[in-house]
Amino acid sequence: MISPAQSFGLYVHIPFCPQRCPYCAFTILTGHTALYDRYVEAVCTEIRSWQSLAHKGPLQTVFFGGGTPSLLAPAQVQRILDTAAVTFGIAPDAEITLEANPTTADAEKFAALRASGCNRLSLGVQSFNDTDLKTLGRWHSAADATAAYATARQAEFTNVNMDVIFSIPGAPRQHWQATVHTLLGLGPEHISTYSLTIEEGTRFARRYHQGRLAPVSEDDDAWAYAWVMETLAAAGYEHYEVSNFARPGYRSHHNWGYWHGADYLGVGLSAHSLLDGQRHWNLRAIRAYITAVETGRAPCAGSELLDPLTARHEHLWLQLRTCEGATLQPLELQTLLSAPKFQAMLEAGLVHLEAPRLRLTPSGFLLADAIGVEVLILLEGGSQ
Amino acid sequence: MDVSHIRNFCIIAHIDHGKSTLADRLLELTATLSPQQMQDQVLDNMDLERERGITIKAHAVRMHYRARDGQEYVLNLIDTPGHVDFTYEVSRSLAACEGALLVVDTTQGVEAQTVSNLLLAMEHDLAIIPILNKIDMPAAQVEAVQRQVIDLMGGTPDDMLLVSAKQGIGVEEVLEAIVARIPPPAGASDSSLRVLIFDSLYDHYRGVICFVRVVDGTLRKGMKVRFYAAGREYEVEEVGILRLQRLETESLSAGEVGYLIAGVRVIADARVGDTVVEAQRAQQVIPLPGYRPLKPMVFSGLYPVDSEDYDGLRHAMERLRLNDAAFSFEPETSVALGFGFRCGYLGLLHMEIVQERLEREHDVEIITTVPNVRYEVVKHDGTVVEIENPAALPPANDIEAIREPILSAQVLVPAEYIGNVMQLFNERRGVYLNTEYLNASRALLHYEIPLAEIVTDFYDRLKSVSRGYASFDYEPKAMRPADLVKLDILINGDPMDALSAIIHRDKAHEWGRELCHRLKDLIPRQMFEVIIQAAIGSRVIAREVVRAFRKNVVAKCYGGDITRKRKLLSKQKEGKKRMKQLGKVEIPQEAFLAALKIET
Repeated sequence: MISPAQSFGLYVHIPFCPQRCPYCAFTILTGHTALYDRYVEAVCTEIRSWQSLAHKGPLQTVFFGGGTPSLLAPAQVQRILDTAAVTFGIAPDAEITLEANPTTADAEKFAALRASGCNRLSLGVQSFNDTDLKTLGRWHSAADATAAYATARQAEFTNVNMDVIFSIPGAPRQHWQATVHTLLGLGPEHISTYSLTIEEGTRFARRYHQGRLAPVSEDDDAWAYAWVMETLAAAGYEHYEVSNFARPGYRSHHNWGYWHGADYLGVGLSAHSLLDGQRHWNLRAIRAYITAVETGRAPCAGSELLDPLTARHEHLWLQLRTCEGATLQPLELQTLLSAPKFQAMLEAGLVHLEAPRLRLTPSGFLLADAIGVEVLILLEGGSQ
Repeated sequence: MDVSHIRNFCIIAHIDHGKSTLADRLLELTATLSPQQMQDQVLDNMDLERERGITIKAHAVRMHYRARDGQEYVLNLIDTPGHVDFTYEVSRSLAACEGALLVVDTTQGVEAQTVSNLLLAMEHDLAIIPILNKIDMPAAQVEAVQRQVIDLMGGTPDDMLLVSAKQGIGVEEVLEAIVARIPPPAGASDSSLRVLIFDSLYDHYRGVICFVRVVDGTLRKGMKVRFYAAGREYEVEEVGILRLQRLETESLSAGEVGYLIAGVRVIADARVGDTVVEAQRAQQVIPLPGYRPLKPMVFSGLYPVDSEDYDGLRHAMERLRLNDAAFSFEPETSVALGFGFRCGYLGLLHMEIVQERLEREHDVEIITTVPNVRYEVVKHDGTVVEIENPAALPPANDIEAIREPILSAQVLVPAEYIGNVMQLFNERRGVYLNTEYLNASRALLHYEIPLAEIVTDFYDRLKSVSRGYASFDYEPKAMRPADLVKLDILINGDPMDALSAIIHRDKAHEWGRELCHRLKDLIPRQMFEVIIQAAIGSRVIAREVVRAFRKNVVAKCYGGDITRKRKLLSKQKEGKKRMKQLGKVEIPQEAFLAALKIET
């Protein structure tokens, strides 16, 4: 694994989707196919505008996220990668991920994407149950997903991730178990599991407020998460972050960078960057973004520079969400050890301390947010 | 000053019956203030008083009036506080007068408080001028109210003045009646000095300013005086009369009302009701009757919401106490709430006023514990201890008996609500004494009731069972033994001392169940389970559980999510910091208020 301090990643946001899923709150656009070329051009321009970061190169990771990046033509992906290579350089062993939708899978396209340099494919499968897929408003079937996986293998993608969702409203526990068993039968290198959350502004939220959508109970949600942690661990997957599981050697290098303070440049609509401790994010409106870039202005919508203590605390809770946990400084360790609340967390088996490293246990992962908040409160109390 | 041309009077009225408006009109008619100076209800000069429509601290004002007999009179209006908690202060204001205007709102009729203040005025032998106010209102029931007043104090309808203070109708007749029907002060300017302090306030620059009535003798600048009850001597720095501001004079003679400044820096040295005498003749003078030191009757813990505000809160309380000799406080510590104060008040309204003033005028956020009364605990060895905090109760097996304060209470209520009111008193351990009918439709019920039973939500309940028509008044009567127990609330086995209560055994179960239930709703789910128990001694009588989180983790946390997520965590963090830590769980501040709202 590359040490995060040396790592430099590029995130490319492709906001286009065939349609909006009713649970999705991301910055995405449906239709707008006429804009694809112009958008890709704008992204390339934005990449070139960061020439000053060339000294951080070559890129160790590139991640095409969305949206549905697989809607782009392979040539468009190629164009972005070429621009990045010219601007920053791309390391020969760089991890280059592209998110793909099962319906956008055809053999020729996947082969072309592979040939363009992409070496990791992330498939948005969500479920292997057609009823659940319908609930989620997905426009593909379980069979489409299986076929897309086979296509990816044929195209010689040797590092494939599959995203799946649990706690789908109305779905019995068996659906989740069957989805995971199907997944294990296919055997991707990497699995991401997400608990469905009802985000404000989505159609799910509207139905929920109207009483037409009953979210899964906290007990069922907790069961699904605990069960998948146990099942995937037994199948040889390493649980290396709250939502992420990988066969040995297949952790997502790009995402790992997010949790360990690596520098990353985000380009495209609404993308976030972290460069030398300063974070900034791009405009969220497509026209505004394109116009800004085309007229030579930075498409930046905001930025923040964290004070050292806030930055340290952010670092701690992000690391706590990973299997390696957080490495505590002596004063932090002392503060925690002297707090009865921390002792109670240790006794309850929520955290595991191998000084100076603090890690979440599987039951701790279930409460990662509450534990993060608690640890920060204790540390703030101690730093006053 | 010719004593025969002085009239000292006060106004007795229920809240909202028009006292302040009438006072305004009197000031206006006597040109005590110009229309430009006219500010509505000048006597109520604190925001809080204005909002509540009650006058908390008495003031006085001197008016000059040329009567129809062609003579010029000095009229001193002495304002009286308008609430049951301040009965003693009212009685001292009455003692400074020879007459009283009894103002009754003809749309409302006589209220319990009017009755008790009227009785107080009659005890002081004041000349009483009944004034029927708001006669211009469509809802005015002049004849009915006339009958009520006659039932109360005798007389005939002709004795009563018909007034609309708001419209200025009949106000001049009021001034004439003051001159004609209220006797001038007795007392001689050449006898030994006796001065009644009927109110005082603290001024940052001058020290205590006493509002006084000279009963005998003449009070002069430079005189050496003694505050009789306090036993302290001071030199008079300044005397004067009260217009809307203080107006310095050389002296104040018998019958006059004014102010006295003598460099007193401690308000406790110049208590309301005390007599000021000439220092060198103190031994020969008999002080004026009626002085008693004020003793708080209701207590509660006050804690800063943010423990860093502790010093700020103490300063605010010290400043408040400068002006309010009846408010007391001393430091106390609570396991759940940390460092705070145990405060004593004259009654519930006084408590509310103090808390509001601390928050508003002194800008400190506070948590209040359930108010309680003072108990006398008789131990097996015969000793008696006074308890102002349930947490201080001696161990159960040391206790022979617990005595609690009992009030003598009067409720004035329309006949159709008598049943509801009686039921309420029954629920509150009231003992029925008798009923007086003021007329066919209004009854005055007499009860004895433990003070402890009215310190939580009694007024609200009384108003709701009588649709707002019942009015209530009380005075302390006695300390009596009762079957009282201490009820503790335990959180995961640890007592939450701030929620302990001394309560009648018959009510303990219901109280405990209800409180546990409320706490369950108020305590959020968290990392660890919260077990709430109510217990008498070691016996648990109610139990509720707030389950621990099963899952509390956001799934996605990539590049674009981190800032949002950090802000979310930071918000949760701030929310948790406002809660009080008890063992491994947190209790929100609202939980400490839960007990204030329990009905039993």
